Amino acid sequence: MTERRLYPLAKRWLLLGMILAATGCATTRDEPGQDPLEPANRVFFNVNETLDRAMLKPVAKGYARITPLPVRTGVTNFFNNLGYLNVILNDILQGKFEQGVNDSLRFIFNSTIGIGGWFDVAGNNMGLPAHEEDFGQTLAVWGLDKGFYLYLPLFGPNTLRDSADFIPSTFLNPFFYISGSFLLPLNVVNAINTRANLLEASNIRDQAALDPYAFTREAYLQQREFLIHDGNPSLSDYEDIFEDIFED
Amino acid sequence: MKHYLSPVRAGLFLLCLWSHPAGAWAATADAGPITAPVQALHDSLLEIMRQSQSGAYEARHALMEKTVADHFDIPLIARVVLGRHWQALEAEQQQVFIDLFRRLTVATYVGRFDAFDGQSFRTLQTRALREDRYLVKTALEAPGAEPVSLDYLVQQTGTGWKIISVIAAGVNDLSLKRAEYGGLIRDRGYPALVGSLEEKIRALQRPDGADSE
Repeated sequence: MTERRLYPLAKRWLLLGMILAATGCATTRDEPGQDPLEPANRVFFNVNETLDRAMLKPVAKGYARITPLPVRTGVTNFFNNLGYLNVILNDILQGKFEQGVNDSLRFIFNSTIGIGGWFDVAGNNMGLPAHEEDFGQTLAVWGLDKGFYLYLPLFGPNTLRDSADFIPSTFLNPFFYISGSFLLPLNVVNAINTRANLLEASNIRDQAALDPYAFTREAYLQQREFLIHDGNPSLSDYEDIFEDIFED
Repeated sequence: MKHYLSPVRAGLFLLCLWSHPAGAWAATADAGPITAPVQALHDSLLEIMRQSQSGAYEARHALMEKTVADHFDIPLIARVVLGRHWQALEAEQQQVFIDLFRRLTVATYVGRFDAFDGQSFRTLQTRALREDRYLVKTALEAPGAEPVSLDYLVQQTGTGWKIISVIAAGVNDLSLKRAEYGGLIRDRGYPALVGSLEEKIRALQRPDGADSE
């Protein structure tokens, strides 16, 4: 059973190796907007977009149409709660001990009173809001550079550093340690529900973007910086873009 | 798994600008000269959202046109967005691009803020970056939804304080567009960029949006 569940992980790293081989392992200095793997990334982006338009998006639209909002919220809460041990670990790894305690309480209350995470009682009634932490952010706090941008089939935008989150998030998900035929349909529901939550966002992106690939990359990289700094990036980050205009 | 099957996660920050559950409508904060342009923009956005069901598109468009003209430094923004490509343009072309970018900004605001579900804006804090440039941090709030941070860079110009940058949920619209436009110019040339932007503006101005589903 364990072998079978490890397979996607092995597959992912194998794929990473293939991308690196295909592009001559181009690791270069970190410059804004730099994307040494762009040709390969674009191929995977187009594959993802094509599959999405053909399969996932239509299914997600149908699901959104027939599913009442409280059910969708419950499904979202349930899967978020399953992934929450990874948030707690990364709170601690980043030295955010108070947040770690709060997030632990959040996980305990939502898993019990919230009926397996279905209801967000901690967030709604106890003043314990959800936090967004992962191992990619932890590595950034520890001083690791993001490495190159990586667009992965199925998983979407990533960086070399952020892709390391795959390991703790896999091993800290309770689903990893159980087996049964119910896992496949549950994963399918998670995928469809997640995509349904992004329907409006993706429509807006399609409406706003001239180049959806570049748009996705820039938005992803910037939003990661924002999360790493917990919403308060350094003030110079705001101004960097004006430098070449005002300095000369 | 944060990125599980989410090829479009990057657009998420815009989601919250789109729709919210219905709720109360909060009063706006005080307006000093520095926060005034931000305040004026937010007031106009609330106005066009509330008019979206009843008011004509033309009226909402006219209101945003005036708001953008009065409170944004569009010539500066246009220049920053084009980066090093700006210098390669003739003065006349630069003027055409400024106008194009102004129309895009107006059409985007009118197209996106097209429903009112109880949103309100709150000014959180103002910080000086230098004497003539401030960061104004605000949040777009709605009951039952996570607030979205909207940060603005405001700069003193010859005609008062103007917005020179908008950062939504940590994503800087200027950097985003600069990367996108730069790539397009590199691959297909400047005229292709102008064509694409004209096409975007037309799509945004089409009733019911370009590809709303």
